[in-house]
Amino acid sequence: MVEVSEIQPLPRRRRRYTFLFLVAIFISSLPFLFLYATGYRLNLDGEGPFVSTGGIYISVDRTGAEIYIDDELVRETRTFRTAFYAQGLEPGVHRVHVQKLDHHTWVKELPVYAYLVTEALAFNLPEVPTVRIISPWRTNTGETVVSANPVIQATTTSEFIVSTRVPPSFVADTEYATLLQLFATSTSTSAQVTPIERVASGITSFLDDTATTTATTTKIANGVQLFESEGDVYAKWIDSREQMPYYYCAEEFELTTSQTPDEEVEESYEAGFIGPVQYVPTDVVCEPVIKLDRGDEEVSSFDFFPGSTDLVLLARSSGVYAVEIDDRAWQNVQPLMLGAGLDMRVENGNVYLYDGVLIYQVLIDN
Amino acid sequence: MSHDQQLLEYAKRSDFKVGRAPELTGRDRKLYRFFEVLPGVASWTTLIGVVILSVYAPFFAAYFIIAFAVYWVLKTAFLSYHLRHNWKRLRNHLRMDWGQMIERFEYGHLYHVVILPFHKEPADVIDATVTALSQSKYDLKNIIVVLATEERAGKEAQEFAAQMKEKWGSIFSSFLITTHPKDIVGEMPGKGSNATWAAEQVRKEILDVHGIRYNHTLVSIFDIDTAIYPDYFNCLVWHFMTASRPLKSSFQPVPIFNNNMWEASTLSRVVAMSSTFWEMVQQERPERMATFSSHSVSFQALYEIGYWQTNMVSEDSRIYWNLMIANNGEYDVIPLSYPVSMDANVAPTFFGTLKNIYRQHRRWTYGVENFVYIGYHFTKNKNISLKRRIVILLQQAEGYWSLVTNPIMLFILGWAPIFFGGRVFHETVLSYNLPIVVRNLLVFAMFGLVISSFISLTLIPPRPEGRSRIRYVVMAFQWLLVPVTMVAFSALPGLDAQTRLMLGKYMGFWVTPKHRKK
Repeated sequence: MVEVSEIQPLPRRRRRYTFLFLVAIFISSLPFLFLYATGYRLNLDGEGPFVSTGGIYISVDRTGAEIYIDDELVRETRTFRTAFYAQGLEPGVHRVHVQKLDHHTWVKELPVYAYLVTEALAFNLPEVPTVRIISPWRTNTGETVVSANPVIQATTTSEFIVSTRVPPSFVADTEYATLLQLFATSTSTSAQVTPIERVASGITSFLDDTATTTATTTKIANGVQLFESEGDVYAKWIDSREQMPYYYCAEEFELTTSQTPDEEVEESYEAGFIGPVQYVPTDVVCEPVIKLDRGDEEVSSFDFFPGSTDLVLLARSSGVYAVEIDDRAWQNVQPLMLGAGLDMRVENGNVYLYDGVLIYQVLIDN
Repeated sequence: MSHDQQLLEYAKRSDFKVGRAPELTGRDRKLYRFFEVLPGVASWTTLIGVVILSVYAPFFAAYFIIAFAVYWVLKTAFLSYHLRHNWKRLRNHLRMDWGQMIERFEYGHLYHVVILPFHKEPADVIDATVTALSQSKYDLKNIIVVLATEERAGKEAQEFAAQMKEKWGSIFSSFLITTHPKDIVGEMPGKGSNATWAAEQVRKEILDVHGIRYNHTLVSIFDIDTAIYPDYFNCLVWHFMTASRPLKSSFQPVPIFNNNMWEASTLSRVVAMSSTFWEMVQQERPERMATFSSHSVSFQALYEIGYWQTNMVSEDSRIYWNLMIANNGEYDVIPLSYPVSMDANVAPTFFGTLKNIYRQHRRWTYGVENFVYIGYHFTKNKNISLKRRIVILLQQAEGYWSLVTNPIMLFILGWAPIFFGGRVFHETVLSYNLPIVVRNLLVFAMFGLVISSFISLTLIPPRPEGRSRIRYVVMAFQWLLVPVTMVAFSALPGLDAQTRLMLGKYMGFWVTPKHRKK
């Protein structure tokens, strides 16, 4: 015989108890979730049930890199996972470094504040850059012709032959002629002969040529202005403060409270609402200008690193360097290519270097 | 109906079957219009409010979204609990011998009128429906089949109906073909007007002629693709005989949209099964139920209110509210927890299917017009207790509000504070943790989908020959599409429907095309 209870819907009482049970879960779980989301963590070491924490968010520009926080490996980057968010960090200074085999290591000490996330963008340039050589001449079969083996510290993707003479069978490379226009202004005071003439005349050394043109160009991209003043290069934020990257005026983000975290939690509980207890001033009175590290060398040209307004390329006396604008703790400076007297231009997302004879396209990939 | 002596007192009101505000005048019109505007305003205010809150008070918005995600997880758990219980009950009911169960009752006097409103649906759909009726374990000589055709469907439909009568007429007690005239003033073409015409015809031509009492007649109003299970009428009779007030009750089976489950696309299956699950959940909390789609009700009850409304879209649910309000709240929906099979949306092309699903759900969610009707009549009919009126109104309001807003808030606007919160908010731990916390909560809620996946596999028909077993795997994992279907085929059509009602751009009845792949 079938029981009628098997036919009836769920008893109302059972449903009500289930409902009340879930309501109890809802009410009891919310404060903990709010605290957790705001940055509080359970404190098992004694004083008070909770401790306030902050976080660090590190973006890396390439895959296969290792991110370390306080010397502990926290993430190996891969496609779609090139950033790491570390939460639950104690307020204070934390050391972050990002490294990749055969690449320069990025290191920074970053301040972590309670309830706030400190952001940083790491970059790792290859120790030996890869370049494509563009010379004034090429053979009928398309091979690049250089007057001597280039002594640059780079690997090259170009097939080239060395010849100190220019036989009639060589043809002028139109790409070279076009790119040379980019460097026209910087070469005007340094070279009295054209590069083609130099090659044709058998000049083999190209490292003794120095670009002396003082960089006076102003570059602007995505709200960042690069300009030169009295030999130094500066990055200035010229767009709305709402959009301003985290490192401009970074030092002025500070907590207004002098209470201990426990006092803050207690006060928040009494207020019945765990709100944003941190305060970030919206009317920051600071000049969002950052001087770029040029290593006491003269800068002949500068531009944004392709695809970035956080990194700047500086053509210095000893080579071309990428410098991060972020000056918290220090600025990471990594050589893109070493070599005295290299001039540099960025055109259509490509970096071109010019040593007075040859042009090198630096191949940038991740 | 000119003869309204039989009508219940409240059903005699001129505004009893109001369909939309312009049918009223004066203050009543304003009141009705107020209720029409209310759902759309509430939903839009909520959605826009979340964005505004994200811009001007991102911290508060973030806490609200976290609280909302927790609420969603718990709601999922609560509904899954109901779903699981109903699934067990449904399977149990399918195993039970209802014929034996009703042996202890004297039920030979009961007649079943099965009304099948028919427009231009394919022959195989109707044939399958009548075939299923013919395979019922109930005495077919107590079943009156009414094929309710539409004059506007043309001569072809009439000829087809005649063929059906010739084929099936001798099996049942009667096989009546009714033809709902086109162009009746004040009527909206659709299922309600057709069914009302058919019910009156069957009363005049069969019940009165054969002296069949109205209170001995149960009407099953079935969508044309409804295939009953063999014990449907036995199960119905058991519930009718054991109901505390059988003539003041409607009987609701579980519509399982699985007739063509093996032909339907993945999206269509998810949407169809989600609708089934919602009805299964409702079966466990009958106090919140209204009738939906195919269901049964006594002829007496229908007669006392003049049958279905002929001037609105969602007549399947409205008939319950008509009955409930006309009976001063003394009316129930009794869940049968017994299935009927119906068609999932299938069109010749994938995009055609998507379009049909959207339009079907917009029509269903246009059921928000029932909230308007309830709200209006609850201010009029003081014979229903105030508490009950308030509770029902709030339940309905919450239902229509959450239908539209919850999926959009969870899957789209949950990220609004991050995008609109500004620099100050963006640099906080809360900003970074918000998506993590919400994501983890939603993943937790997805465990409810595991239950859904398992239950759905038990409700699909046997695999036809030629269909790969891999389809089972697809059917198990198809539930990952729920966030998409909830937004695209629940929230958006719901918002569309509420907005139309809010703006006074009233919808007409759209017949869902029935298509079965050969």
